[in-house]
Amino acid sequence: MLAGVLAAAGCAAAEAEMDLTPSVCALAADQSRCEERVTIEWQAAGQTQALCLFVDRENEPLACWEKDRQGQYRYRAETDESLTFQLRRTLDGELLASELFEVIREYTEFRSRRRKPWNFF
Amino acid sequence: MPYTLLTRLRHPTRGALAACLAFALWHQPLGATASSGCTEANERCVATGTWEFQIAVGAGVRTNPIAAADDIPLVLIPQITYYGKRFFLDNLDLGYTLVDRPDWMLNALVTVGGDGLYFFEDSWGRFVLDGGLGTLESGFNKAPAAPGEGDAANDGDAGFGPVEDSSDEGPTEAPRQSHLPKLRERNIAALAGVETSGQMGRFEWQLQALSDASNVHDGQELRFAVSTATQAREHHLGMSVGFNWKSAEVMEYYYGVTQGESGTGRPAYRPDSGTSPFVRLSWTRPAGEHWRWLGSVQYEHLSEAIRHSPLIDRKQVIQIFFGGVYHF
Repeated sequence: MLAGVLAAAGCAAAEAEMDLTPSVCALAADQSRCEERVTIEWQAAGQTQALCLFVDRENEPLACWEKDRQGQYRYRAETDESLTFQLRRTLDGELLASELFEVIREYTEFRSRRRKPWNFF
Repeated sequence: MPYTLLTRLRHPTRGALAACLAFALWHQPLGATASSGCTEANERCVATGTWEFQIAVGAGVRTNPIAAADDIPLVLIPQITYYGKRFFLDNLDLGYTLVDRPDWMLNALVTVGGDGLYFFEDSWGRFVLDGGLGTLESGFNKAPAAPGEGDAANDGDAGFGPVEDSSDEGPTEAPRQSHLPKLRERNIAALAGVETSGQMGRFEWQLQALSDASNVHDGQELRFAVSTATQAREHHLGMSVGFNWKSAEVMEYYYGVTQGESGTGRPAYRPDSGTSPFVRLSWTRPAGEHWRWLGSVQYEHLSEAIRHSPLIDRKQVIQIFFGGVYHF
């Protein structure tokens, strides 16, 4: 049960490491959607095992590997929300690694200027 | 009598400050989303995190009411402004916006008093301070050189003794070339208080209620101005009128003459509070992507309390400027 809790919290990542490049997509004020090619690289520790890469709540994996210690996948992101990539063991679906591709919005805030009836300018 | 906080708050200006702040905190708690109605940068609105730099280059003069002091040439006048979400820096004004509404604004403000500049001798400092104070403050220059001044400095502790009252009518005698005691130091005060401003149709107004926060003179100031403008093709014409009220403490500190400072031709003088009204006309016109023309004339009628000071030899301060403003 503890393992399940740790896995849910992303603490099972010790069995594999995953990196996203880039890991952040910054939207300008006039952009509503992020279109970015994301490179996902993973590396497993210990014995080789069959595993699959998932994105968010998609049931179908993006890719699977049978007997590899490392792998790479290029994903074309077209999203207006952050995405979570997960590496799971094929056998039992246990979470091995999880990384967030974060979509942030750079919006500009405006405020009133100071009124200065006696300003020189 | 002990000078307690309560005593300080009994003063009408301080009471007004406290009331304004209390109202602001009740009206719009700190941290609440501002409802300025601003969605883009324009004449009324600015993007937060923005720095703005301007410098006026031209020819102008500001008369100096201090006896025996030179008029002040106006050649370069800088302006640096920064707007944070609530914090702002406007040359020498530091502020925090408590309420930001489309037609009304309330700011907590720290600024400098202008009168100390009459006695400020550092040229570079005056250059910066001049821009910071805009045009409301009177001209400044070294205090009257008083060629006859003695070497022995007298501080302000000597008291006022028999004095010339500010309500006395009649011309004030200008300092004579005699052995006058040296004037005590008159420092620049840091003022803190609140500033509120608003828009009423074509009129824009601003009121500042400030109190000395630096223990220099312990006085208060009220500044009010209203302006309006009209556009005729590329020409932008503006007019401002207003006044600046200063408490007796401010007046005594800067324009009073203590017994220790008095001498022949410079009688001891203890002024009361006073109000100086002003009017200003301005013209501006675009002259390129970064430049615009600027011309302005301002007349400030000094309060009776200032006019009657033995340190003053003019009734008004006049400022004229014509030149260009460069926007970086």
